[in-house]
Amino acid sequence: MTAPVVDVRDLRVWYAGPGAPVQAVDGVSFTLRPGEVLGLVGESGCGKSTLGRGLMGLLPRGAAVDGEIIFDGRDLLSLPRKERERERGAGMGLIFQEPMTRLDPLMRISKHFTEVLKVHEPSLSKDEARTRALDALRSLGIPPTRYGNYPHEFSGGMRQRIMIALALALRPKFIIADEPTTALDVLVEAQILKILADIRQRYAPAILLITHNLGIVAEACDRVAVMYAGRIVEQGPVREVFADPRHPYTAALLSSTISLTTRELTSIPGAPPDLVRPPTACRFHPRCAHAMHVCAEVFPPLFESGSQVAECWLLGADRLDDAARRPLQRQEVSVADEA
Amino acid sequence: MSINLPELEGAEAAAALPAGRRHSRIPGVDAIRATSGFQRGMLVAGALIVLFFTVVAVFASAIAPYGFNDDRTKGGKVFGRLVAPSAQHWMGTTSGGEDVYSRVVFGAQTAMEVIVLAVLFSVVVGVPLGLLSGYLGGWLDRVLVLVTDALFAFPSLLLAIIVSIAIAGGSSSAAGGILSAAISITVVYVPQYFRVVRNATVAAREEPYVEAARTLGAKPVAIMTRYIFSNVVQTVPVIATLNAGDAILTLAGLGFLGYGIEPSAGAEWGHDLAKAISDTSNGIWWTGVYPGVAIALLVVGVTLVGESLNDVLNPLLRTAKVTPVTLPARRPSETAGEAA
Amino acid sequence: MPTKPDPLVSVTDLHVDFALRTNAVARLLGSSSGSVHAVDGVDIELAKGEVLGLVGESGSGKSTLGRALLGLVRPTGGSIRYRGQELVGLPESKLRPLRRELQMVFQDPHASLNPSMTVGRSISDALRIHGLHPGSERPKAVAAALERVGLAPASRFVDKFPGELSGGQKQRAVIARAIALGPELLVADEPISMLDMSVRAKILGLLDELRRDLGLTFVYITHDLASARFFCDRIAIMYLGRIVETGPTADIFENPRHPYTRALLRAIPDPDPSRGVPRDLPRGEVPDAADPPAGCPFHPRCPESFAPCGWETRDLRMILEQRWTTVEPAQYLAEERLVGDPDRFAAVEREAGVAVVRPAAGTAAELLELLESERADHPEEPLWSGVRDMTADNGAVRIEFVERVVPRLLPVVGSAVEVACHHYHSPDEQKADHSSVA
Repeated sequence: MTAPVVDVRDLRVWYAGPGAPVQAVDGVSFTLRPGEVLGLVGESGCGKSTLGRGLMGLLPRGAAVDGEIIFDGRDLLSLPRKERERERGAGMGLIFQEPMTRLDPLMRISKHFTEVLKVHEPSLSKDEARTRALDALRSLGIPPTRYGNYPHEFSGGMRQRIMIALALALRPKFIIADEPTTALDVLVEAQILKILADIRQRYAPAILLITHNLGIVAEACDRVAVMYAGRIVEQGPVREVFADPRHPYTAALLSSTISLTTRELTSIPGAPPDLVRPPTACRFHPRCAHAMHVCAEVFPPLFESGSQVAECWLLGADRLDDAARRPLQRQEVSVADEA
Repeated sequence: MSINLPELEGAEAAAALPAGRRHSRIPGVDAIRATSGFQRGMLVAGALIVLFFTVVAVFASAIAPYGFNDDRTKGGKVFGRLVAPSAQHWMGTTSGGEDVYSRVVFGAQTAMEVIVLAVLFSVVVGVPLGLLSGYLGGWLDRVLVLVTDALFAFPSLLLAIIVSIAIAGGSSSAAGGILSAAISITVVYVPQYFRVVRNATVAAREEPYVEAARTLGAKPVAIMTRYIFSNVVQTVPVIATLNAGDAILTLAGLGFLGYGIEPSAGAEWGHDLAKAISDTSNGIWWTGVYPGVAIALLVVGVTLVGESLNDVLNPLLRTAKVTPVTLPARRPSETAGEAA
Repeated sequence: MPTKPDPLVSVTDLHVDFALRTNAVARLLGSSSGSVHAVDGVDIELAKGEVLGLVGESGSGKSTLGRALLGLVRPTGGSIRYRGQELVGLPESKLRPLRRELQMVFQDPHASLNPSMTVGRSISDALRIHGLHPGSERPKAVAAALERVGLAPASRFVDKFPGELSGGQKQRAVIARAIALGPELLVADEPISMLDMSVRAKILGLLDELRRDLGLTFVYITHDLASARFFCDRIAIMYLGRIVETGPTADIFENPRHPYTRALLRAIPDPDPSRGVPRDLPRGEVPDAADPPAGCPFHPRCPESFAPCGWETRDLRMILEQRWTTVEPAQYLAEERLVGDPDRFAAVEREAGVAVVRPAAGTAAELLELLESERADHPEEPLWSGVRDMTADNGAVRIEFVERVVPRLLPVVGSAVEVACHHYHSPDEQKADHSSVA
């Protein structure tokens, strides 16, 4: 097996909230190999975007990070800031949900590319930069006739393609795509997913695809990491995880998703916790149908189960005594508290 | 469209909560709570200055030893002209033989009355006009925007002078004088309230909750008063305080140029300043310095309040207080988990 | 088809145009410089108690149609009858009392509640507007509405401002406000799309419950076919202001007929990983509604389009730009010099169905050669089936297109489905039917 491009170990990202800190990412570990796409899935507020920004070093004032982000053999968190920023620009690419907010409305598309290349690859000549940019745009289906246009002259899907082309211009080894298709129509979304698949074939970067859409994970990712309340609760190959989820949250999330095959609606009782004061031990225990006494008291270790890993005591119930295994009386959740 | 709920993470979440609290109406209490350090000092200092002048204005007749126009005691003893500050006359007397201290105190009363009236009138006229214009749009909006823009373009003091000449003519009663001065200032400031409220209304008109009100069957008047009004007037208190400082200067300017309140109708700092100019060349400072300091102090006080309110209430300028996070040591059970 | 009882709502040939003020002069003068046909000739009927899904992408006109049903936007033509009463052209004052019966749930629950009104006041104000449950009855009615949508106990919520509630709770409050008036028809415009995954099922479940318990008639507007399949009895697929396919939900999903419907179904990312990544996707994006394609509005993107679908000059531009993303840069530069600004292809045809294109540099023969070579490279490109003749003539290339026929929504024999596509009704049928109707 090839060495991982990205190896995140026990990462914590807490940011300042009103009063106490928000424990948005609280001990997250994963690895990404070249050419691999990891889907990071979770509901809003679970910390998945904060994790993405934390990896890039784009965090709000007052936020604190610890753990390790080993990229290309070096721990980014222990690098001096300058070097880290260089790494961020050249080694990592970022694709956002709303490309318009990242493109300068007063700059032609061509200028966006030459600026990026000038900063990170000053050795490139003007013509070379142009060819490189043109190549990137053409490979994403943007006609060269549009090279001199301004961002507002493009449709939403085209802008996202430009954003991707910009991220690819520096041939990064690692791309973070944060909800790249959320603002797009379904047909365009499918086009962008196809482009991401093509990029894997051509450049084989490692991609972290952050999304709330399980369908996108199923279609575009090799592995999936399910995030809940600041933790990755389950990780594994997409097929296995979706076919046989080991963590009750993954199972509940899958069954509450409305898909074309939905015949009956199911939902998760309760609401996601406040990350300023997350529940004790397993964060899902107040909403979990299978919660045991131990779940509220001892933090569940990571259990391996085939190619999947999950943080859930159910997978290690045989190690527990009867007292720990007693079912936990769940507090009555009124409909109103849900959502 | 497939737009999803934006994640309330990062800085947004930090900013969102205090914003939700803003619903407790009284700006004063909340404002002070929302400030800290230097900003709070500014706000408190400004508020104290304004409070001081308000007390002086309200109790002017009790505080001032003499009437503002008196040149002799009740017993008929003439003060004398341009008497230097003494135990009798703490701030001396004017060239007209009036007590400067009494005139400064009554001047505070005049200033406060005019400012309160002017701000009140501007709000009462500007806010409904802005609501109507912004909500109804069409030709009414075009005409009103054109007129207010024209008023904006006019030098404010000149405008106030023209209006004061037009309405006051030769009015000399105290109330009439104050009223006409207030109206002159109102005309200058109405466009500001109009503009702000109109623009906020134009934006609010497109909000889904206004469409929702239409869907419920609400009539235009109900939509304007019950749905739009409370959401567009939030900036009005800030503009009002910022304007008040400006209005004091306009009032003083009018008085200084002789278009303000008739000297016999009320004490007015600007007028006193104008009269004091010729005294300075003779080394007489007290007739000018005291009313001048009063003007400056009140303007500074009101502006301090206005600016710090603006910082606190204006979402564009508001910066959330951030306490840097320090990560606690990891829970032992958590790291142990990795090994299992 | 069996004879249906009188429909609750019937819409015929509805048109909603929006004036465009694109340039500064037009904006100053208040005149319009063209218009967008947001809804372009729509016919639908709604039976009482039915759930009709309006499904489409952005720009399909689904939201405008929903708002037109409630009189929130003014139609420019056609008719909407609610219980036999004509709504089009009705003055606002006559519409207002009807609003009690025609209610709406919005996409953004946060923005559709007045931020400075408590939830309780929002609902009681709706009741006040229509003079319902006066006096001491009103708080009881408000509480009943809140508890009906699951915000129980109501006392916990009446005094809350929208900012203090979660997304799902806000949407429940919006639904409570709507049903408090006792409406007949509820237009739900993407009611779950802004909510979190695990909350969507709860809100959709609530709507389903209300439909059963209160006998509400629904118009469910969405871009999400999955929730439409679950919730709707009947579906109308919209594209650029027109209905391209409509029929019972089961028929649409089991046997999608219109290529657009099929493309949508293929494109939905499904959580079942055994489904592969869809290939054969429609190219491009939804075109500008101010200047929709000729013929079938979907034809430039359609993977199944053929000769009669409405090929025109600007489709050539698309073909050339497509070509230029694949050829070598040097070849692109040479060809671009020859063709010039491809925007010229978007120009209106001087003679209907005939394009005359002059080369920017070089001769007409060279330009013709370029087009011919593109045809030879991609003979499968459907555009070429719509080109009747291509000749170099008088210093320009003259391209003649097959006659264009706008497909109309016609019933498919042997089913309850109607579809607007030349694959199901030949152009002759389309025209014949048109003349018989007109």
